[in-house]
This record gives sequence, C-alpha cells and structure tokens, in this order.
Amino acid sequence: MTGRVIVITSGKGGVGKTTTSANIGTALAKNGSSVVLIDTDIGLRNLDLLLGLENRIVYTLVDVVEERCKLKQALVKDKKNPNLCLLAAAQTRDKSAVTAEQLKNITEQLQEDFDFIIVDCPAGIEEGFKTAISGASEAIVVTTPEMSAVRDADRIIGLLEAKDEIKSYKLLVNRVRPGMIQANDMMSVEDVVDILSCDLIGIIPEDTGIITSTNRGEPIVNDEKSIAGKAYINVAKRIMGEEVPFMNLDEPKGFAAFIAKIKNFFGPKE
Amino acid sequence: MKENIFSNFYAKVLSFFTSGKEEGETSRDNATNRLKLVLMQDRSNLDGATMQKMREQLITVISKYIEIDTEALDLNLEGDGEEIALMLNIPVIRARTREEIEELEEQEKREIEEAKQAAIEEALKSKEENNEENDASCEEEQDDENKEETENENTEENVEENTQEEQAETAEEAGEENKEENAPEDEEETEEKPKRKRKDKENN
Repeated sequence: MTGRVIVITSGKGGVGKTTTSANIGTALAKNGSSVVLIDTDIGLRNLDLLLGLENRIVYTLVDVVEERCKLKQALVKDKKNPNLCLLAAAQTRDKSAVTAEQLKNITEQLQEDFDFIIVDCPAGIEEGFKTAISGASEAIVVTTPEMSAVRDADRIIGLLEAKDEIKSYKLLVNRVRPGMIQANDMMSVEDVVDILSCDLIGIIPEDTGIITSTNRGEPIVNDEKSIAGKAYINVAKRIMGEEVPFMNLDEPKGFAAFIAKIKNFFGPKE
Repeated sequence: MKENIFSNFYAKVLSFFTSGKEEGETSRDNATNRLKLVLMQDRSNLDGATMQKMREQLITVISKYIEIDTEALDLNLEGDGEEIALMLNIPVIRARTREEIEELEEQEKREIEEAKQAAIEEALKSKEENNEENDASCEEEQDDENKEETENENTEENVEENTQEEQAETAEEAGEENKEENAPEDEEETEEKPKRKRKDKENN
C-alpha cells in the first residue's frame, strides 16, 4: 500500500492550518481510511491540543529522527478513532531539528501502513515549510478571504508550483462570513479563487463552534450539527474523489430573510 | 436628545427593511482591487527600485519638452476591476518654447559630443598604457593621439568596444546632469523612495 501524503499549508499564520489538518484527518478516519497526522510545527506544536491528545504524547517526531524510539512507538492513537494516529512535534526544539530528507524518509515509511499522511505545515516560507512539503505529493493551501492571507497564499502557490514533487494543490477558503460577503464588506470565495486561479477543495464558514470544540479537544467534524464540521466532512469526501457540491452559505433573502429577521428579533439562536 | 432617539429609531426601522447596500466602491471591491495590484507587483519584477528607474528615465525624456513638477510626478500601477493600467500623473508647469527645446537639444548634442570625445581620449590613453606594457616597440606611434590606424588590429577592436560602452555610460551621466539642472530638489525624494519600498519587501 502506498498512502497519499498531503501537506496542509498557508504561508500566513492563524488562518486555520492546524484546525484543517485535525478535521480533515478525523473526517478521513471516520470514513474508514487509516490516517496519520504529522505536526511539523516544531517548537510551536498544537495539533495535539486540537485532538485532545496532549497528555498522551511520550515520543515526538524529533525523537524518531534522532533514533531515541521507533517510528511506531511515537504514533499516538486517537481517543475515539482507532484509524487515526498523531505524530507530534517536539515542543522544546526548533525547526532545524528535522531536515527535509529526514521527514521524507519518515513519510515514505508511513506510506506503507497508512492510506493518508496529513502533514501540518508551520507558518512561513522558510526551512520549516520546505521540510514540511518535502515528502508530500499533494497540497492544500488554506486561506481566508482577507488580503494578507490571500497574498501569502499566492506566494505559497508559487513555491508549490516550482516544486516538481507536488503533483496537485487545491485551495481551501476558511472562515468565510456569508453575511459580510452579501453586504459587500468582504471578498467572496469566487473573488479569492479568481485572484489565485487555483482549484477549490473546500469552503469553511466562520463558526464559533471551532473555538468551543478546540476547548474540548475534539475536532468539529465530530459535532454533526455544526456547519463547519459538515464542510470539513465534504472536503474529506472530495479528497476521496467524491463529487460533492459546495454548500450554499448565502443568508436567506427576500421573504425568507424577513422571517429570519423576525425569528432573530424574538430570540436569536446561538 | 429626542431627535437622536428618533433618528436612531428611524435608522433601525430602515435597516429592518433594507439590506444595507451602499453605492460606489464597496469594501469588497477595495480589497479585491488592491490585492490584484499588489499581487501583480509581487509576481512581476516591477519592484520599487525598477519603478524608480523607470520614473527617472521618464522625467528625463519629458523634461526635454515640458517643464514639469518632478516632485509631484506620480507613477503608479492602478487597477479598475479587470484592467490594470500604468498611471502617470504629471503636473505641467509650462510647455517649453520651440527655441528652448532646440537649445536643449543642442546642449544635449554638445554634451554627448563632449562625452564621446572624452571617452575616446580616455580609451586612447588606456590603450597607450596597455601597449606600453605589451609592446615596447610601438611606443613611437602612440605619441600621436589622433592617429586612428594602428598596426595592432586586436587592440583597436578592444578600444572601439570600450569607447562604445563608455559613450553609453557618459551619455547616461549627461542625461542625469541635465535632469539635475532642471530639478535640483528632486534628487532627495528620488533617493528616499526606493529605500522605503525595498524595506517593505524585506519585511514581507
């Protein structure tokens, strides 16, 4: 078996790379695939927190590289999903602790046992980024409809294009606020796609549930009611090759909007 | 106070029935247009320094015909929706008369001629030095500076190349001098701008 190595990257920090990694990984695992998540943000690890696994980490990526443990020993099984594993980053080291060669070596080993290897990339375009993309053949570029995030995504796309090993890269637009777009206060997903001229793999609406789910240490895909969770499940399906239409995030117009306003007036739901 | 409450209430009622659309450029257009421009600059090689170079050369050419306010000259990439344009905004002080233009052209010609002459002299001098080192027997001939034919063809070719290059350089210098004469204060601004832009780039 040769698993697919997908790197989740963005350039800019804080656009939701780690959240996306955690949710896509969990969604793929829920779908029956075997998945390993690798946190390459050495020194600033957070993927463990989002999955609620922070107390179970014994060995890290750096321990594997420096041969203090076997690769399998460093894989932490998810609480709920036995198909999902995490290879955590070391918190007390920096990006220079793992080279591109070493990470590539690790992803190649993991490809034999897993369907998907999801690599959570650090922010920036320096060595940490270069290391993270070293073993990958696919990439998901996360951005938000904000100017700085789109500009950085453009830079990342340029760098991915220049790397022959990356066979495909897709865009995921995160934290979309349909209300603001409808009021013409924010760039729409179409605007972003048009500017970056890159294929789209997902649109994730802004969802306060992301914060509470992080607080609980549980990816939002586990919450079936959440819109963001559903959007992430759709992304996972698209990765699997299914054709899933993009959700209609538009807020109701006309009479429906009037009803919604009245409903809101008498007590907005959370 | 009462009016305030009333207008607030009115605004609320109004917003209840309208979707709050505004005319003109929306915040969304603003973001898309600015982003398109900045990405065009990011993707191309038109960085601050190159734009500055272009600006300087444009000033030199235009100043020949029109007296312009070089400090207020504005050269920018601007975009309106799909189209991106290079916008050059030049405040004109006054058009030059034909005599002035001719005089400037004359002056330029003279300067180029002088520069050429200087370049040739320089080249001949350096040739002389070279030949002194290379071939002692040629010494007698090189005393005559104006004599263009020499026995050694290779060195002559070299000299021609040299003089051409130097002519180009000196012509450029002459152009700059010309510009300085027209707008002595401009130098400061043109020095400052590219540095700031380059700094921005580094930070990004």
